[in-house]
Amino acid sequence: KLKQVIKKFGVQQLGNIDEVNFFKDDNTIIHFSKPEVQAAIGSNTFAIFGNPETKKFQELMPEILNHIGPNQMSLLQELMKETQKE
Amino acid sequence: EKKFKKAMLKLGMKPVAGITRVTIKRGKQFLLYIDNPEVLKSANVDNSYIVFGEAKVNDPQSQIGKKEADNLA
Repeated sequence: KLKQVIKKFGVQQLGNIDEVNFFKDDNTIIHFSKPEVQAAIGSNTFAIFGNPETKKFQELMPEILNHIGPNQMSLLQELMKETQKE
Repeated sequence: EKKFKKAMLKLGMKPVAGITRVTIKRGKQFLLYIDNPEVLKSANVDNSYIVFGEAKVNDPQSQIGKKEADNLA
């Protein structure tokens, strides 16, 4: 049903997506492996269909380093703290 | 975008709070990211999400370069 509505807004399928990550402010990541992604770039809208898994930052290292930005500094800080504990 | 959002809310999509960034990865070289997005999640099924926000393309190589530059500064 959702897909039908989305279609009306002129979305296009983005093929061959490997993964989608949602970074949360509690330092966890909602990770989708090989999801279906549809986009309407003009209206800044993306639709993601797939199985979400909640992951810790550490589980997705080191590849995830390429995905973070200034908003995710707290993730790095937590990671460093844990590393020091070990 | 506004119309779209309205239609989504009508379908029973619920906002998800606390998402600071969304990244979409295709292959090794292509990465889209959306900072401070608005995220909606379908209430009845667990596998559909809608993301609103301006997407930017990120080149992983330049990102690493930027980090190094930040460290030097």
